[in-house]
Amino acid sequence: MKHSENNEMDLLLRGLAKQASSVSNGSDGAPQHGAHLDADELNAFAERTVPPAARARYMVHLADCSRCRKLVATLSAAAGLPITEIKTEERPQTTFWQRLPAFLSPAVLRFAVPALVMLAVVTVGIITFRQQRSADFVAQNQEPVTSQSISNPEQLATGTTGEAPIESQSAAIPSPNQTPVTSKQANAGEKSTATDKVTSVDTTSGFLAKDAPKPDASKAEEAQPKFAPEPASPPAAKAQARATAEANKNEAVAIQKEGAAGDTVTQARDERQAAPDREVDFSRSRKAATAGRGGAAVGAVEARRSETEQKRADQDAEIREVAGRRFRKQGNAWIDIAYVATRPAMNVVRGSEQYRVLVADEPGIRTIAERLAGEVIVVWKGRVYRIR
Amino acid sequence: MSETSEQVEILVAAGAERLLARARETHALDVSQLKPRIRGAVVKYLLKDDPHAAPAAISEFIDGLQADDLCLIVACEQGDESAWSDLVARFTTTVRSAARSASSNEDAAEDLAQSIWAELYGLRVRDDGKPTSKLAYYSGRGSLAGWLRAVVAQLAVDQHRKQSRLVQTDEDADLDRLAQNVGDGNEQLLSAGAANPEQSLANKVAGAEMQNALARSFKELSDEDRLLVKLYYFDGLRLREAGAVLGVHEATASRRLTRIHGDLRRFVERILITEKGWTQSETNRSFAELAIHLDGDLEGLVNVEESPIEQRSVT
Repeated sequence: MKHSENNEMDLLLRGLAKQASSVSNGSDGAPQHGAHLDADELNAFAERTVPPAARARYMVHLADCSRCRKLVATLSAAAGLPITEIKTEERPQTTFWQRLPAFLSPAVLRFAVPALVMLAVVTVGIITFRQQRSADFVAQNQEPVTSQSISNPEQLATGTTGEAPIESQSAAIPSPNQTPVTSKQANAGEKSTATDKVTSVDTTSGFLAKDAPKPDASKAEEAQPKFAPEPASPPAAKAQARATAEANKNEAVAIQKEGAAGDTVTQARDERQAAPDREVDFSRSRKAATAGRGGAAVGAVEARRSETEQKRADQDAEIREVAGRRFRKQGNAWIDIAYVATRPAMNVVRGSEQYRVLVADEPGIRTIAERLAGEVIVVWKGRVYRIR
Repeated sequence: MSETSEQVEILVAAGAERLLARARETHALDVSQLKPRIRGAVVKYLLKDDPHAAPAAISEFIDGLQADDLCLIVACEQGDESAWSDLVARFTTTVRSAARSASSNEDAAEDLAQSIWAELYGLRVRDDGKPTSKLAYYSGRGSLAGWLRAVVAQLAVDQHRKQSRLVQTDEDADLDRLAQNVGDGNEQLLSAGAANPEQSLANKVAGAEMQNALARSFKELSDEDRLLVKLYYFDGLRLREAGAVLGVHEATASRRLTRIHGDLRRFVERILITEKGWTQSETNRSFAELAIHLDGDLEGLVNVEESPIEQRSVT
């Protein structure tokens, strides 16, 4: 039954009681179900020592006799017998088919349908994102190494990819089985530097390192990636190793490009030999750029990590866990982190009879209300209570 | 004596022996002195409702009697002065406390307590020459202290009725009167908010029919449900107190009250739709209008006491 209907009946009964009391004032009457209960019966009823059949008989009388009812109420209070709550007592026996309409009622569906839609959207989003990442990874392996891939020269100076998360950076670290060509645009800085010197290499795009002909043994040895990040290394060492690996990898890319260039490599080599000073300068500037990029990357990662830890610490300071529920403080209120603002909350005032009934049913809520001062919004067994 | 009576006698005699055996102070009583009292209790609480009660049930009932209290009272009734002194010494405080609770001032409480002891001792004399004492009505089913409190409370009520000339009534008669007085001005629940005389008249009729249906529906509830409603709404007890009378926790009482609301609403709707030809929407509208009117009328009541609806909703 809806709350409003329940409230209506409550008010009706109160009105009926009020009218009945006004009608009965000064009037006469006699019990309809025999004589009044004697003291022994009243006491036995109040102390709950009456056999069930006799108890039922007395109940008929008590329901109609205010005199005996008031005496029994007084004696029950004086006896003060403990009462244990039997929670399953009032639970009706219902079958699945009787409960099914309740599941499909508008009151349930209005929350369930949006929740299901949201769940579906999130699921599709996650699947799409995962597929997209996987597709990017494959495309990286097959992506031709061209000068056009160098799109953002500013990234070359910083050595980072802007807002790219740490995970994406770590994804740029190739495994030992991967060819150096699988590196991402972080290598583009190196590539651009290399293409300044080896412009003809760019025309031979589309070759993978493993497919490229090796110019000679020394070049092949140089082309072998020298990175192998330690899995168990600490974060700082890992970042350092990552930066080093990037440098080695980029170097290998440039060399592979040289190898893949075929005949034009000779021309480039000749050009390098013709200008050894430029080669030395190029090498130095490359190493410096690599070192600078690695250092900047490590610094950025460290800064981001510390920022994240700071945020988490701030959040922890305003989040408390009571009776298995986590609460976030907002202003003067403690709000269950599972609480959704669109859900209707039931107002319960501390100390009220409603509150006592609630905490008698749910001792966990009592613990929460006692430990958290001020207003508390708690989600308990699918319902939202606002305790003030 | 029928076979059943003979069997009961045997069970009572055996039960009396067991009772004496477990009593700490027998006051020199024997089985023959206890048997009439035990038999009376068995008949009153067991055989009256189930004349063919099982022997095991009878024996269990006898074993549940308060052995010490029953022996003390029977000894007092037999004229044992030491037992009487023991009774007075042990229960003076109880009687005085109960008298204070039932009286408006200390003097009245003292008078009431003295009256109780006089009633217990027995000022009048029966045909057989023995005093008529209230002690004869103690069965041993409940505690002696509780029985004394009940005696005090009953006597206080009787004295109050004699003094004020007010006689208690039962609410069924009140509800009947409410239902009968529907055309005599008691049906104004819905008419207050009416915009015009025609609407007012329609509301009056609707309110009267609904009130009548509610009074009839109330009688369809089970005795225990009716008792709970009476305790909570008519006697103004709190849920905890009403639950204590029924021997249930207040949360259980709250849930029961909620179920009763639903039952009553269904009963009223059925009466109005099947007998009065109302539609479901008319019924719902009348309930809502009545509630709005009563909400303002009973604002004070609601403010004083939390609505059981909300109590239900939290359980």
